[in-house]
Amino acid sequence: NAQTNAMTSQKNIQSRNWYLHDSQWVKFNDDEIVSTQNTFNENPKQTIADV
Amino acid sequence: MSLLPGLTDSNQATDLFVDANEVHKLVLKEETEWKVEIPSSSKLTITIRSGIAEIFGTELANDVEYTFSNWKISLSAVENVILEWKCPDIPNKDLMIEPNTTSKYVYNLHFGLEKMRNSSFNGPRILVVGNANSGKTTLCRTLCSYAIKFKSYQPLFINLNPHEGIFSPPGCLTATPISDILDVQSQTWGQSMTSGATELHSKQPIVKNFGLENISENRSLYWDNMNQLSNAVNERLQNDVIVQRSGCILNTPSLSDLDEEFNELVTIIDRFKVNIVVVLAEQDEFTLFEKVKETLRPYIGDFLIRLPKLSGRFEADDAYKRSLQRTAIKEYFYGTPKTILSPYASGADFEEITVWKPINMVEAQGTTSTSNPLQLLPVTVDASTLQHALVAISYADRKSSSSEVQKASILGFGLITEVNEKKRKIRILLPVPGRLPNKAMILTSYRYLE
Ligand SMILES: Nc1ncnc2c1ncn2[C@@H]1O[C@H](COP(=O)(O)OP(=O)(O)OP(=O)(O)O)[C@@H](O)[C@H]1O
Ligand SMILES: [Mg+2]
Repeated sequence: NAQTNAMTSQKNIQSRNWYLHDSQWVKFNDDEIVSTQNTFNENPKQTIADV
Repeated sequence: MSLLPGLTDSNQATDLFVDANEVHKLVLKEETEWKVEIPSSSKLTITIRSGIAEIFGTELANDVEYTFSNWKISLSAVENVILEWKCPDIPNKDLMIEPNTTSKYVYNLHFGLEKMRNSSFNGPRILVVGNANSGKTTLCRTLCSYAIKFKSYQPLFINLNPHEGIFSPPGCLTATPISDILDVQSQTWGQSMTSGATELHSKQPIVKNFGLENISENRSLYWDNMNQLSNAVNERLQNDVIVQRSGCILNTPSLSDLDEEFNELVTIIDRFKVNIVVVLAEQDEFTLFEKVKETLRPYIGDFLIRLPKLSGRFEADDAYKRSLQRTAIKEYFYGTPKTILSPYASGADFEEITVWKPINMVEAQGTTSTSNPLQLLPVTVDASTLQHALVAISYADRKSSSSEVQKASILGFGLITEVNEKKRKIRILLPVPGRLPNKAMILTSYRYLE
């Protein structure tokens, strides 16, 4: 239907995330964001900015 | 095809029509590089058909169309390369193709660093110094690219040059683990974290906002930001085995921006535990190299190497550097043609925002505010101060004291697009959808207009 067509043709609209707080960044591990690591992980860990 | 009005010579019209969209074939011999300056508001597309071609150390995939604009790049042929290119504003004659005379030094340096990575849990921490336009940033970008090419290392790239926006807007000191491929089409090396899946990998930098245009405008503030960054870097290295093993690559401002006695280099070496220094200098700059060597020898011994200035480099003038800064701001909010970002416009009343700014010691000479150079000064909200301004948004709450704001982490940046003094409202462009966070903001010296 028209709505589904509109949705499938919509570009992948993205925005930037906030930077992590220093205290989060020092504990962060980039394996979280390297795609090959999460291929088989159902619930990949996702650190987001602690605003 | 119709003739353009006024043209009577049909041959002339044919030439015009053909050149605009003509795809040119170019063969580059191994160990040569093609230096190309893309005029602003023009686009160069390149497709590699065979062979290995690199830009700043990142290989271009075959049969993929890459687009470059407003940039001076040099495409290096690692093997014989056949490529196709198209740009209406670049004539297909007198192309600057020269032998790449410095690539062997860069490879040797890279292999030296690899040996160090393979033989220790503490990876090499290499500081790159040199005069303006000697190729420091290019060398850093290339070493980062090579480090991750064959092994899954994650070197920490540390940018101590606030004039360059790398994974951030300009005016920042940053540290970013290079955990995956860099975006060869991005002047800022790639994107920092975005929502949703991206074709290319995003990075997670730590960003310290210096915010002034020149280090000389507040050296104490520059050093304070450097200290905050080094504290975070050292803690991350303790917590992150892969990054520690991969080591650090440090980019510096031109030597002319630092003090003549190189005391500041000594402080950097101490804070970031640097164990190798590379000086980009020509043979005839022997005195410079000797002076650096003598000053730094007590701290790094013989791990001081001279490399000649990179052969692909251009003399970049101030106007070009300003255009790079502009692109860095644009890429933060809008992304790149491959990764389009949608920033969010928000509104706020004058009464809802608190803005600070760092002291410009050069401007403030003779006034009382020079007593504590790290002090933040309150900013009156009006069009003359804030219109088109890039502002850093702090993690510190809006009601925080200036000293709390000065020490706090940075959430991100906003761009004040409109200041309506009559309605006492501002419009601000934000990278993340939602209301303007109830946080303190810090005015930078950077302005951006469409
Ligand atoms: N090998 C190369 N390939 C392509 N472009 C290069 C290369 N080396 C340098 N350049 C270009 O030459 C200019 C100067 O190089 P670069 O920015 O690396 O110098 P720099 O020492 O970092 O300068 P600054 O002191 O201003 O930071 C830049 O415009 C850059 O794009
Ligand atoms: Mg540089």
